[in-house]
Amino acid sequence: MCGCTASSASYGSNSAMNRAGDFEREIGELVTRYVASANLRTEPQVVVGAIAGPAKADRRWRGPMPVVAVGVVLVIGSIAIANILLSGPASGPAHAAVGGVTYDVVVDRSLTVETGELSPYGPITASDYAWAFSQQEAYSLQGVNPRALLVVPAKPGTGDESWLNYFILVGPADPYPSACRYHDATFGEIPAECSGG
Amino acid sequence: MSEVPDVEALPLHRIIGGMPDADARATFTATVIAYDYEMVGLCYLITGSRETAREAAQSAWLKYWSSPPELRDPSKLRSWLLSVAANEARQEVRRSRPTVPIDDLSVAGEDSDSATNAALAQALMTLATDERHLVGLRYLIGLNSREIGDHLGISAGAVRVRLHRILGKLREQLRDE
Repeated sequence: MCGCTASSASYGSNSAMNRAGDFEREIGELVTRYVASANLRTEPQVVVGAIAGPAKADRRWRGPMPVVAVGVVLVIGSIAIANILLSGPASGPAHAAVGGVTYDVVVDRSLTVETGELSPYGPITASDYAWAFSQQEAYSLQGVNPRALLVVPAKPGTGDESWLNYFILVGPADPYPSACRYHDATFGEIPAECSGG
Repeated sequence: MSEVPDVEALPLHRIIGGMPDADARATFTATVIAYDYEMVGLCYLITGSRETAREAAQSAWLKYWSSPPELRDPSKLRSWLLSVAANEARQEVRRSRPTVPIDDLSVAGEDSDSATNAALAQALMTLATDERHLVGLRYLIGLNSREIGDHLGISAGAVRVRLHRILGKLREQLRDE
């Protein structure tokens, strides 16, 4: 830039710097060089990977977590994966209690949670499938009634499905009564809503 | 399923799109290539810390990816990203993150460029956060007074007055050191 090798003392003695325009131009150049010297460039793939995750070949829903969660529960909720994923100790629909409210446990294979949309909501005080949760803390979704829907992180590699990252907890304010609930393998006949319709 | 609720009618449904993954990533990557350096640089001037600047920019990218802005004028995207990143950086400063650019000060004296950078870093750190933000918008991003005014919600005249004061402060700092 300016040849200001300077230590700052040289600014005072440089006659050119006495002119405001020159000084402003030199400040601009100094700022540009100062930022350039900070090695702030990052490979775009690194940024994209950190935010969007690894590239996938399949279709990905972009948008807020609630959209993903709700859409997936509705569309894929009929898949009977719930019956074959886990083999827990209880028989019947799985439940989890959070803040004195009982939620049904729902699984979903294409759920992608953006952690920025999550807020800690409260501890899971009881569940017949607590062993499958990596935390005993439920999270609410930004903009979603927590009495309708929460999520809880799943233990990595739970069952035989390493892609399962979160369980959905559907509460009493559930607007999706037809979504497939999670059932263990001993539950018996697959409920109609889980039969793939 | 016995009955499928009307997804569009659900209050929590605020869908943005089901863009295929490859297209979404390509768009995202192009946007990162175009604006990431400016965002991080602006945050660096505000925070004085590379790490905090990167975190602030990362937060802005996360917002962009998870909740893309609905801009009528696509050319406003740059301004939107810079605003979000700068706000994140300012919040980091308010959270008592280190505001002294330790990395830059530590290299002072190694060579003339380092000495100049260290002097500027020290001078910048005597400015308020708002003033460093303005310096970044003007001298790094290259916005004019009107554009900065639009960005900050103040008049172009007010921008010029503030810049004049800031330049005076920097001149004093650089002269005194």
